[in-house]
Amino acid sequence: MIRHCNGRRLIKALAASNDWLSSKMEVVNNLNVFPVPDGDTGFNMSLTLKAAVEATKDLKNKDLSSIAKEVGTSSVMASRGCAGVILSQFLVGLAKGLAGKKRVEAKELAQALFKGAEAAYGGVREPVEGTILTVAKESAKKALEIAKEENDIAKILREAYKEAQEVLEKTPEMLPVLKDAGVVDAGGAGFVYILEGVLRLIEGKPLEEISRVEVTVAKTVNTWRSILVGIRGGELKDIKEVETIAGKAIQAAKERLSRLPLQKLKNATGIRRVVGTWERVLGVIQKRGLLDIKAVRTTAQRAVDTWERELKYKYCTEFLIKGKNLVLKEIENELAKHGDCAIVVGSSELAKCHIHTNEPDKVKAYAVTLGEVDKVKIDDMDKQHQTLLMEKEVGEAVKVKGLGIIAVSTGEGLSKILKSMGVDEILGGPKKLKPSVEDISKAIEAIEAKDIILLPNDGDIIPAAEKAKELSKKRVEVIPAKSIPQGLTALMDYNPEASIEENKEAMSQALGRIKTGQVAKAARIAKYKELKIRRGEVIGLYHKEIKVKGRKPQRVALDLIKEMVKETDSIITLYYGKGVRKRRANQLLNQVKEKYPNLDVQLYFGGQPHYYYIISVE
Amino acid sequence: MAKVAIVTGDNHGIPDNLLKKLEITMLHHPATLEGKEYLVRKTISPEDFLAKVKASKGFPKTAAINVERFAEVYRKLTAEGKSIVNITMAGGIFSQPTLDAAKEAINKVEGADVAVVNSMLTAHPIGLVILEAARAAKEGKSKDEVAKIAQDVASKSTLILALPDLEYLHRGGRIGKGKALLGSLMKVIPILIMRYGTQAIEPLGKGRSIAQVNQKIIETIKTDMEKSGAKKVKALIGDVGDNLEATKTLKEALKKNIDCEEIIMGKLGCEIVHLGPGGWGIGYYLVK
Repeated sequence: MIRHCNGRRLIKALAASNDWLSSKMEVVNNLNVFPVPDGDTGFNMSLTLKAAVEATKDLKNKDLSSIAKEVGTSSVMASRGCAGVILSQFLVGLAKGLAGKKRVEAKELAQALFKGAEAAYGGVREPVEGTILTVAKESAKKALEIAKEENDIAKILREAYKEAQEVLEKTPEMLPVLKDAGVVDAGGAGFVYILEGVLRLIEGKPLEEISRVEVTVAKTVNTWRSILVGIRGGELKDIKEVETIAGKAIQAAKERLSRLPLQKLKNATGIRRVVGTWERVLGVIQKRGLLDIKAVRTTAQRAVDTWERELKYKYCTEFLIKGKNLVLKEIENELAKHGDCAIVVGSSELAKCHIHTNEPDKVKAYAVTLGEVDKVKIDDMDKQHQTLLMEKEVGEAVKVKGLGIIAVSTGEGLSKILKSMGVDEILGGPKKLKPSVEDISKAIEAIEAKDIILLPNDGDIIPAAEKAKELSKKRVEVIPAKSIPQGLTALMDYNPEASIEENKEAMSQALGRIKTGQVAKAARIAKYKELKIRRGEVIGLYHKEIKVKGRKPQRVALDLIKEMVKETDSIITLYYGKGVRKRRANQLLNQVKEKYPNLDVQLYFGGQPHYYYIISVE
Repeated sequence: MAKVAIVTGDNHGIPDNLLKKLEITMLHHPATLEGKEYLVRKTISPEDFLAKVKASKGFPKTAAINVERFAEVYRKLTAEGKSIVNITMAGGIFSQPTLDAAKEAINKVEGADVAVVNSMLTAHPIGLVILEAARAAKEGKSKDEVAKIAQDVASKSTLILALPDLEYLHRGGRIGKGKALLGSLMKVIPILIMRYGTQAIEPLGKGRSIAQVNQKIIETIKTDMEKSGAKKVKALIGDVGDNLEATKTLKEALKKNIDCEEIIMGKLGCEIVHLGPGGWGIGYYLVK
C-alpha cells in the first residue's frame, strides 16, 4: 500500500521507468510504421527520460515540487523526436500538477498525471489520436476515476497501466497508418513501458537492464550492511573475516569500475564513493577493533556527508590518457588536488580519467605531460553556458549575419549539398541521433545571426525544432520540411537579402513543389495492406505508404519513380545512400534517363544510412 | 519625319528589324576577349561571339562608350537638324563612364540639343524604354516629351535574369563576391532581379530546371502586377544565343499566364559578356 509520493519516491519511480524503457528500447524502435531500420522512437524517449532522471541527481533540494520541476525542464531540453517532445511536455504538465507540494496523495497524483496528459496535447500543433497522446490521456483519466475511491497509489497505477495497455492495443483502430503497417503506436508503447517500470519497482520485480553500476553499488552496500549487522550481533568477531568479506566487495566494485567505458565514468562516482567510504570504515575497524561501533558509524557518517555537500566544483571533466607506464593511483591523487570525485581507471597504457573541478585547463595541462590526451569532455554542471562558450572559442569565428540557417542532415553528401545551398550549420549526420531540443537550441545560440531559419528535414524533428524556437530569444522560424529534398527545395527560394518573414513565406510555399520517395531494405517481416514483405526485401515508400517492393534497390527505385512521376513534372533527382556503389547509382541514372527522356534527371551522392535511394520528383 | 533621334548603346536586346524601323542609333560597347576587341552585332554576330567565349579559358570584358563616339553621333544627328534623346544604362557599377561620356559629349558639339536619360536599368528592360521612346519620337513628340516617356517607362520596368553560370556576372563586377558564390553542388540556375532605382542586381531565387525558373519569373511578374494594380505588361525576352528553348518556353508561359500587350523576342549584344553561356532573361514593364 502506497499512500503518498514525495520527491525521493518520484526520483525512484522515474529511474525505474527509465531503466525499464531503456531495456525495452529496441522493442519500441521496431514499432516503426515502415519496416525501415531507422526507427528510433524508443531511443528518443529513453534519452529524454534519462536526462530528466540524471538532472535530479545533482539537485540539492529533493522535495517533490523541485524534483518535478527539474524533471520537466531537463526533459524539455533533452527531448528529441516527436514522442520525446510529447513525453517532455507530459513531464512539464506533471510538474505543474505537483508544484508547491512536498508530498501528494493518490488523488493529487492522479490529477497531476491528468495535467501531464493535457500538457502533452497542448504541446503539439495538431494532436493526433491513436498516439502516445491518447495513451497518456486515457490512462490518466483511469487514474482519476480509480482515485475517487482508492487511496493506494500502487493500485491506481496498476489500473492506469492496464488502461494504457488496452488503449495501446486499440491505436491501430484509431490511426489507419498503424493498421496498414500492423503495428501499435511506438510512442504509446514507450509510455506503457514507463508506467510498467514504476509498477515493477513497486512490485519488486527486476528492471532487467538495471544499470550495472547501480547493481554493484547495491551489492557493496549490502555486503557492508551484513557485516555491520554481524558485528553488532556479535557474530563477526574476527577482523580477518571482516577484511575478507569487505575486501571482496571492494574488489568487485573496483573491477567493475575498471571495465566501465569512459562515458559511464560519471555514473561511477557512486561506486567510488561507496568504495571510498567503506575503505575508510574498514580502516577504522582495523585500528579500533570490531567493537567500537560508534567510531565506525561516525566515520561512515562523515563519508556519507561528503556526498551530499553543495556542488563545489563546476566542471565534470573526462578524458583519456594514452601513454606508457601510467600509474593510475598517482594520476588520481594528482587530479584530486584540483577537485573532487577524481576517478582514474584503466591500464598502464590507457587511463580513463574523471574529475569534478574548477580548473579543467590545469587538469588538462597536467594530463598532457603524461601522454596523448583524447576524448576530452568538459560539462559545466551548472549547465550549458560554459560549454557553449568553449565551443565558440574553438569553432571558427562565424561572421555576424542577419539571417542564419540550421538544417538537419542524415548523410555526408547531403550535408555538403545543403551547405552549398547556403546552410550555415548542419545538425545530425550519418551516425548521429536526431537532434534534441537542446542540440537545436545550442546551434541557434551559437550562430551569430539575429534571425534563424530551421529546416528539420524530417517530420519527427519538427516538434523539437518548434520547441527550440519557443525557448530561444532570437527570432526563429521553422520551415516544416519533412524530407531532405523538401529542405533543398525550400533553399531554392532562400534569399539571404530578404527578411526572415519573406523567406519563411517563400520557403514554406516551396515545400509543396516536391514529392519525396525512399528506397530501403525491410528490417522485419511486415504486412502492409496487400503487400507481404519479407525481411531483407527492398521496399519503396512514397506518400506515407509502401508503394512497391522487390529484391533489387534499382528495380524498386524504377518502379517507385513510375508511381511518383506525373505529366507536369520536370526534374527527377536521385540521392544514393551510403551502402550503394557509385557504379550502380550511375546505372540507375541511365535507366531513369532512358525511361524519361523529357525530364531532367540528376544523380547526387547523399551518403544517408538506411535508404539506398532518396528520390525526389518535381 | 521625326524631329527627335534616339541614341543608345548595344545592351538592350532590340532586334534588328525594330532598330531599323524606328531609326534607333546603336553605339557599341567594345567587348574584349583574350586581348582582341569585338563589336557584337557589328563586327561579330552574337552567336559567333558566344562560341568564342565558350571556347576561351579567359573571361570577356566590356568597355565604356567614349566621349568621342557619342560626340560623333551627336554631330551627325545635329547636322540633320535633330534633337537627341540618349538612353543609357544605369551608372554606378554598371557603366558610370558611359553615362558621364554621354553627358560630356554634349559640350563637344555646338548646337547639340541632347537629353540624356539614365534608365537606372540594364539589358532587356532598356529595350522596352527605347522602344516606347522611339515610338513617341516617330509620332512627332518633342525631345522633352520623349525623354519623359522614357523616364516613365523605365520607372515601371524590371529585369529578371536566369544565369546558369554566375561567374561571368561576378567577373564583370556586376554582383558582389558573396552573391556570386550562390552556386552550389547541385545543378541550380540562380535567378536575379534588378528593379528600377536599386542600382543593383539582387538574388531572387533559384530554379533547377528551365520550367522552374520560368515559373518563378511568371510568379514574380504576377505579384508585381497585383501590387501595382497593373492589368497588362509589355515584355522583351532574350537569351545569349544558345538557349532558345528557355526563351521559347518563357514566351509560351507568359502568353498562357499573363495578359501581355506585347512580347518581343530580343537579340542580345554586349551583355552576353556578363550573362555568360546559357543565360536568358526578361525585361517587363507594367502597363496600367
